[in-house]
Amino acid sequence: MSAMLGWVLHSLWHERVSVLASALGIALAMLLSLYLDAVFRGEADQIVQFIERAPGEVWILQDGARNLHMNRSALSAQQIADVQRVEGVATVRPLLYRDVLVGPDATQRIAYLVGIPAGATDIGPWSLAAGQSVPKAGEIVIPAPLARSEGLELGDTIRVEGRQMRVVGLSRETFSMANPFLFATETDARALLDRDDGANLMLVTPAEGLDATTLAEHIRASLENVQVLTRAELESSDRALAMQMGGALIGLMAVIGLIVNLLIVSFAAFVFLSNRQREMAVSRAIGAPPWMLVGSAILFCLVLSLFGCLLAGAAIPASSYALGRWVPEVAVRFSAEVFLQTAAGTLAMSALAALPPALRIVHVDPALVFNE
Amino acid sequence: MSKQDTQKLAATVTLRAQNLDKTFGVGDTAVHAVDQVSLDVKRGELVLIKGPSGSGKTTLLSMLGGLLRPDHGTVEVEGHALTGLPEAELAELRARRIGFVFQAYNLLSALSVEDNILFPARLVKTPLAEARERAGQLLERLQLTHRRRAKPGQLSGGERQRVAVARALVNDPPLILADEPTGNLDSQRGQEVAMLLHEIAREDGRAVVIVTHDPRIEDIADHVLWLEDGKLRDRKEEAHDWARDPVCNMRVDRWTATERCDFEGREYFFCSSRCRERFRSAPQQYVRPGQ
Repeated sequence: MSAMLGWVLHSLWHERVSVLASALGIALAMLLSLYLDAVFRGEADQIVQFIERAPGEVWILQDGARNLHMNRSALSAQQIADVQRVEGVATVRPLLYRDVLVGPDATQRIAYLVGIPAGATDIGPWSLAAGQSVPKAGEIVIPAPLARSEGLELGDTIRVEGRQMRVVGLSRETFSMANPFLFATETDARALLDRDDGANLMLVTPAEGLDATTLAEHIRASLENVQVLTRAELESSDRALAMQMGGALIGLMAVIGLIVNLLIVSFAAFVFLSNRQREMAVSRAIGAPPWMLVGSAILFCLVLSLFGCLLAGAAIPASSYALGRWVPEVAVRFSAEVFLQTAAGTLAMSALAALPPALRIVHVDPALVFNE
Repeated sequence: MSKQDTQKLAATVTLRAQNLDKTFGVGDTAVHAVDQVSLDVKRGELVLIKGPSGSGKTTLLSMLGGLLRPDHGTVEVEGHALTGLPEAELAELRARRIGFVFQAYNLLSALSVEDNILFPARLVKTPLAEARERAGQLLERLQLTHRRRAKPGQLSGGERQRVAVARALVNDPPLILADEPTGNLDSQRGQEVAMLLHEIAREDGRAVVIVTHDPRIEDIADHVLWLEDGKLRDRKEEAHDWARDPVCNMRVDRWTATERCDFEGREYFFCSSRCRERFRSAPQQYVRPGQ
């Protein structure tokens, strides 16, 4: 096989311009589905940022609610008091957290408003681009990309649920296309959300020596009509929801990408091997067995696809950097696992693409070598 | 090589073909390309096969080289039967025992001269060092050492054919089959290649079968076989049988003339199709009384 491997590699190098063009096509088709997946992963990362940062090992929501994202929860003052009485609970932090409409009428969008309890330093924007992180009455901290898209600067006002709030801080790591976070005082949040008492959720910390899972079980056993989730469970649930939103689209794009790759590799293999039909006949005449010729066709397709995969792999960091600079509001996170799955799918497709030309090669007439 | 050695060599049959038959098509459109052809080629012998276009030369050469299976008959190379072998074994036998030289050179365009020569050696898994040494010897013998890194596209026709000869020899096969090896070369390069093939037969003791129209090779051949209508005849010792083209009066060999036609019970021979067509249009004009 080394003879044919050498022939394939040299022939690929001999036609490096068309090989590069085909490999670029393969890489682009791969990047289409990889980018879509990365956008949803980046979005999911942003969506769960608050869950990761907020000080609660156990999260309590309204019964039946399993997500913060695209969900509304409401808890009564009585439910808060009940939780505080459960054995093993160290602290309970009732929190106002709900979706709101933000911006002028024509460009209104959904954001999630967090009410910062008075004096709290551990609930609020965790990274600041400009201004201050603790808003006062009538003030709000918004994500820097949101301010940029709305054309706002510090000191400007933004409309939240029909009320004008003054922007005093621009936060980092709090923006995603589906889930930007806004931070206001608890009092303002209560007014904006039109909620007199109770909360939307509770952040609970376990007493010393108790882990979150055990505490969650205690609360579930003690109380009815609330949803009790550990931080990990809630994060996993929200992440799954975010990915589920793009799941069908990602799957469709992955299938389209693989079909495009199949077509590119098939066409490249067809052209390459048609141009070399005579050389195949020569190889066969001078002693290459048919399986070796079939192997060389498969080898050609695999090498071409592997080159495409490498190009896609190399393009990821470069294009991510460029995207981060040009469109910072879009968070992308590539998954090595998904890349390897896509590459494996592409290689499998290329082996499939090699079959028609390989079968054709088996029937190449070695007597073709006698034609001038 | 001593006379005794030469005699000993001559006694060894390298290629034996018996009763080869090949028909293409069926019924009225069937063409009997090769009809009951038998031949033996001994070690050190150079055999030339000639014949008009479409006479079955390439079909015969394909069968001798195991590239085409005959309908009937057998082919043996050094006692190994080609006919009936499965394709994989046939391929290995071709790689080890038969060297091919083609009119169109048929080098692999992406490979260097050295890699082209090494290609058949790699097919039979010759250790690389050994194959390289052998290729080096052939490059030197064929005066191609300085071109070892060149690609076929950078070579002259003569150089390409020498590379093709080196490739045919790299696995040290006992049989060389050449199809019009000088067909694409000018007279000087053609002469060089003809002498090279002669040397391969005489000095190396290989059996060489050449299909060609080149008259220079006729002079160095041990046997000249004439293939026409699928049948083979030996004509080395026979004198030329000259006839006159009735149109241009050029001398034409009855054995080799491809343009001929019958008129009033007599066969006429022509140097070209143009003369034949002119004759056909007005035969009376060219037939002399009493001729």
